[in-house]
Amino acid sequence: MKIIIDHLTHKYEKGTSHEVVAFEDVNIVIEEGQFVCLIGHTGCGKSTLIQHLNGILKPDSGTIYYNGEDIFEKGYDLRSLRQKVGLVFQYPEHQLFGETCFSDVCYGPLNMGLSKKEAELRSYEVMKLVGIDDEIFYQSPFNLSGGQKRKVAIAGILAMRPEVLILDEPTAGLDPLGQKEIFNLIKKIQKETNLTIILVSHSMEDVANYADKIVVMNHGHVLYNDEPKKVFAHYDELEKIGLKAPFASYLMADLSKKGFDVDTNITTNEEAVSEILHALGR
Amino acid sequence: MIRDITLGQYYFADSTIHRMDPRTKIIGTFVYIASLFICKNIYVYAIAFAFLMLCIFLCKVPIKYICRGMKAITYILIITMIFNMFFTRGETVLWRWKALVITLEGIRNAAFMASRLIMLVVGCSIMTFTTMPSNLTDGLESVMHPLKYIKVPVHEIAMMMSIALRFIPILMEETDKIMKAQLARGADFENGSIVKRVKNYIPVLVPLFVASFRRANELTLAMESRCYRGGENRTRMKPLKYHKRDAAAYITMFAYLGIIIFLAIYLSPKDSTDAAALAGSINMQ
Amino acid sequence: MSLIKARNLIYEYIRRDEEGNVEGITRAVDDVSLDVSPGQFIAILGHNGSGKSTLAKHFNALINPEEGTLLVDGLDAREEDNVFDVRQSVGMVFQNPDNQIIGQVVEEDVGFGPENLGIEHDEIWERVISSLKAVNMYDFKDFSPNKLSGGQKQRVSIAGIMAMRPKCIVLDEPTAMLDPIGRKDVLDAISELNKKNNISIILITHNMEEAVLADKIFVMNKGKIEMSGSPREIFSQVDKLRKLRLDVPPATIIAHMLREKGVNIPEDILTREELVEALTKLNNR
Repeated sequence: MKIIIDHLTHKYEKGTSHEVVAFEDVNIVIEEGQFVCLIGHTGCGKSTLIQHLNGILKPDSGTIYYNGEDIFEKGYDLRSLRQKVGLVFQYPEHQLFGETCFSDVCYGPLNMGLSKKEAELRSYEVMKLVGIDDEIFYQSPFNLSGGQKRKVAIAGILAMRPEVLILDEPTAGLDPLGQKEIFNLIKKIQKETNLTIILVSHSMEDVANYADKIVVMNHGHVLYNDEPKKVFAHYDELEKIGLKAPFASYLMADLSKKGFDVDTNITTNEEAVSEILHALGR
Repeated sequence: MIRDITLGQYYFADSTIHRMDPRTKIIGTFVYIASLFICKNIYVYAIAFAFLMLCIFLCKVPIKYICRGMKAITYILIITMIFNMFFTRGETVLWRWKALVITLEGIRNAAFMASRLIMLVVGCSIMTFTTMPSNLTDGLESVMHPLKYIKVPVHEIAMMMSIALRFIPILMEETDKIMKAQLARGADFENGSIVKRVKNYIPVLVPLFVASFRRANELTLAMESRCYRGGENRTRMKPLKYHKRDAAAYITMFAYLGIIIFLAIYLSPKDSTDAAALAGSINMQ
Repeated sequence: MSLIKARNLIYEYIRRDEEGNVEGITRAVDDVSLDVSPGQFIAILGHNGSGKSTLAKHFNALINPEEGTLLVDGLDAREEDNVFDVRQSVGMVFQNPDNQIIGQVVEEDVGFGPENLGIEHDEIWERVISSLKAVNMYDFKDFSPNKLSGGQKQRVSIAGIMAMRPKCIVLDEPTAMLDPIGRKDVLDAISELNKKNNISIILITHNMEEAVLADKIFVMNKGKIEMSGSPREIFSQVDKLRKLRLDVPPATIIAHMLREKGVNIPEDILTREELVEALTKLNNR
């Protein structure tokens, strides 16, 4: 399974005087099992782009190939595509509606036409996977804390057993611990299920540790599409478009200017510490 | 999707009508609506239509844009026409199948009702196209002011309207988002019987209600913290003021209403639906 | 004299089951005492559910403490008669930018508070214009709030409070829903108001980078104030903060990790510049 985004263009209010280009001529290849991060500031087109991957929005030109098939071709089964490409929207807890957390998670599998038993089995499995305690199962999702709600919402998508999981700013609005929990959860999901993951974020810091590939978008165009270290090397340009490289990248750059013998291509705090220790001769 | 509806939204332009006082426009719209219900024959309709075209011309909103707004009432329009077509009794039967009968009178009636509805909606939407919602609610509050003496909470009604207008676009966007999110979970809003389709909307409606209550709650807090305490002792940032053009507008609209009333009485035909007879009576003058 | 003087505040939420019986009591604010002096910039840090939002609502008389005393600008906030004076001297900005804008046009929203206070028409405009300029949003004065970004909306909300000429502004996680650019703009606006207009700021946040800007930080946990002090004093206690589910600035973390490895580096490092400087000193020795 492989996703090829081929010369994709999307415009809002096409043909009117308020025509706005959401993104233009985007080409991205996503390999099976990859962890891809899509980064850019608000309005760069990243949220619109991911809504094409499961066919909820249609492009104005270009297309997407999923497993070698053109998903925007007439007769392509978009509903079954949406099961394979799970999309977790921003603030996904706002879509919860079930009387209990458990029934909410069952919604997706039941829509797929699975039997009640099978749907419940799957839901149980994913709720365990995302780390929801048994006592919360039959509580109303509206009574949970922000972080727990979000986990339930993510479980609702995972219960459909997608091959690709797309998350749009999954940590927005949570407190630091909640953010960490969600990131650890995503890492765990990837490790245990080998899903292809596409993560949309504002922050390089968050994704530096996990991404195989980072796609940086600006004003509807792909600016960089490369492995993290190579992308972060452009931190000057990133800053110009309102993004930031991880703290460690800046620190290493500063230190090397001061005559420290450090590798400027590192991205995490742990790496930074070991580089500094090395440079100090310890 | 839902965002395409232009009906009831403000259209940014600079025209005589845009610059008029909202009270003038509100009263003008009432006058116009009244005129539509007064007239029952095609000539008076023609005058009403001409008046409407004049307003459209003056307000500088493209006709295309106005027509786009009409999409929203397509279903109501079709239902009105069907009802009038099948349920008007008449003599000239054109088509009959079992209990269903279409008569010439029915078709005429359907056309009348449809055009009245269209003119009504276009008339009202000119008001909303040319008046900023905040102005509109200010105007309504002022026009309804006399009702305060019979204990109608005029200020509260106007405040509620203005809040509703502010939140409609937000809630529409929210609906759009929730629908997409449920689509991603395999929801189906297009297929199945009506009952099933309504049922399929529950996963959209529940979160929407929850979100609306949350918003309402937070908005109340925000208003309270900004010292809101009803209409008492409140000053106005933009007090309403009449200008010369409003006087001209009042003269025009009452002249128009006068003509319509005069014609409606004078032309009041024995058989109001018989256009041919009417045409004859006009020729005789 | 302190602008806000809180002594032993206690506030409890009572959870009831469907029949109205008490199910449990949560002490959201537990024996909190603090002082805010004019022009001071205070940050209240704490994870979600630590009681910081509930505490904030006290300063604006949106809720009253069950026990303890609260003086705002010398007035007892629990007195019914003082409520509007308290709300005028301590303004409040909330988390969700959408749910606190009442006006349908930016300038009208900013004028909402002064209108409620019964300010004269000309002065309202003066205040609206100067407040919008203060948060750098004057160019957007006749925009619909729906066309603005989150950061811009939040700055409009701040201007709306500014127009009431408060002595202090409480901001309840104003940047939690914003992107990095919006976040920076809002923080810049806040610090400018603090420095230029000498307005006291109480910033409620869980973001340590924002808290670093403050003169004094209070860290809340389970309704109690766990720690208080200057940013440097607070952030040097990395292990304690982590136990309270909070983050520490990256420079402080790296310094802390280096210390653990035996590098002799000061504990109270907050910024990258300080870290580089300390390391350079070590290297040159």
